[in-house]
Formats: sequence, C-alpha cells, structure tokens
Amino acid sequence: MNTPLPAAGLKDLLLFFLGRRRLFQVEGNSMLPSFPPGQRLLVKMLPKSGKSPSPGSVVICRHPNDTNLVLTKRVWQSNGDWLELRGDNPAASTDSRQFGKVPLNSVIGVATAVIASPGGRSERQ
Amino acid sequence: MFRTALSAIFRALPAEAAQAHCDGPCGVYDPASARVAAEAVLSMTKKLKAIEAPAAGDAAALATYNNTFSRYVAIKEEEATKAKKELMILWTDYFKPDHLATFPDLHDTFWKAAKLCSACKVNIDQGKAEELMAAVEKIHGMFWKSKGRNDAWVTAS
Repeated sequence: MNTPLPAAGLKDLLLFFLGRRRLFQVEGNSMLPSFPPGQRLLVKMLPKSGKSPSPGSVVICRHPNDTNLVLTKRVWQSNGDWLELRGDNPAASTDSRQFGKVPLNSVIGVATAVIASPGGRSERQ
Repeated sequence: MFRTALSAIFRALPAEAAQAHCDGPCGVYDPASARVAAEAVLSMTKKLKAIEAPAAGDAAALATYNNTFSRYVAIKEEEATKAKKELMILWTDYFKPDHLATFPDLHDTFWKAAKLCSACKVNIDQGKAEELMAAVEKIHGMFWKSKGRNDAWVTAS
C-alpha cells in the first residue's frame, strides 16, 4: 500500500518553478521510518474539486482543529469527502485516532516526490 | 552526479514546514487519572471541614493548625488542577467529533466537570467535590462505552 515516492527529477524542478509543485520539509518523528525529520517533499496541490487521495498517499493538510498548523500524514482510508490519516510511526503520531477524520478541503496537496538525501535512498522502507 | 546536483538545488530552496509531531504519543487514555485526582479533592475537602481551630493563645497549636490547613489547601488545589488537566486531555485528545452522535451532551458534561474543578479550588465545598466525582463517573461511563466496554466504576476510598 505504501509505494515509495520517486526521487525528484528535472521535470519536478521545472514544475516547482512553474508553481505547479510546492516544497515542504518534514518536522518531527511521526512519519518515521519513511520520512525522517528534515526530509523534503515535493507536493502537488489538490484542486478544489479534485479526486480524493487514495489510501497510502502522503498528504499535506491543515489540522482540523487548528488551521494554522500544517501536517503531513499518510491516508489510511478515504471515502471521497473525508480522509482518515495516520502517521507511519503510530507510537509518535497525533492523527485521526485523536483528531478524527479530516475533510477533503483541509488537504493542501499530495506528495509526489522526495528530495534524495546525500548518499541515501529516496524513501526509507 | 546530475541527481546529486538536483538534490542540492532542492535543498537550497526555501521549504514550508509540514509538522509530523505528536502531542499524545502513547495513545493511552484512561479516566482513572481524573478519578484519582477528583477523589483526592473530595478527601482534602472533608479533611479541611473536619479540622478544628486551636484555642486562642496557644501559639504552638496555632502554628500546627496553620501549617496543616495550608497543606490541605495546597493539596486540594494541586489535585483539582490535575483533575482538570486529565479531563481536558480526554475531552480534547481522546473524544472525537464522531462521539457526539452517541453522547450529544459530551461538551456540556466536560465543560461542567472542568468548571467544578475550578469551584473546588475556589471553595471548601463538599457538595461541589461530590458533584465533581459524579461528573467524572459520568465521563468514565461515556469513555468505556465509546470503547465498547462496560468497566465498573471503582473508587479507592
């Protein structure tokens, strides 16, 4: 279900400069081992009438109870209007188990690529 | 080589923060923590009501009385604060919007319980302390029902 994200390429750089991708940096341990703190992700914005991200996708979203807080979590379940999110490291994650399901309009985008660490793999498995 | 250069460019670009933090790492919740604190509030309230002031002119007895009274008040204050904190954790972290369908008075119950914690700090009022215990018992019932269990309400005292 958790397909590793590809490393960003030249096309991703172009899309970033065209404003079609945003660059995020993970802060915290709740997405370990897939994304350690400091891991950068390229994110494709979710259009307003966009299709719900499928389970296994990594999303960037606003916290349902604090819209100033931007989170990254993995989609556990989705029904079109709502997403249930989990951290890859459940022991160190605050996610839908605590704050409930997240409405689709809270989702900023879906991670499409990772920035490879020097000498490291693109996404740890 | 090219990939390394590309990564270096991406790492040099400004990035937005995406939080992957945790404010409740263990995921373990239990209303027993609030119950123990509320029981301590009730116990200290009873002790404060029972303590007798010494006769006038007995400086040593007055010092002992003041010391004991202060300690009882301090413990009551501390335990009421603890009870409120434990209730807030259950309310804001454990219970989810979905639970409102089963417990439509969930917010009102927690709000009143938190208010009772404050009332127990402000006053030496056994009635308020007993109301707090009743509120915590109600929350105990809601909590275990939400987990599909029917754990008995047991107190330590």
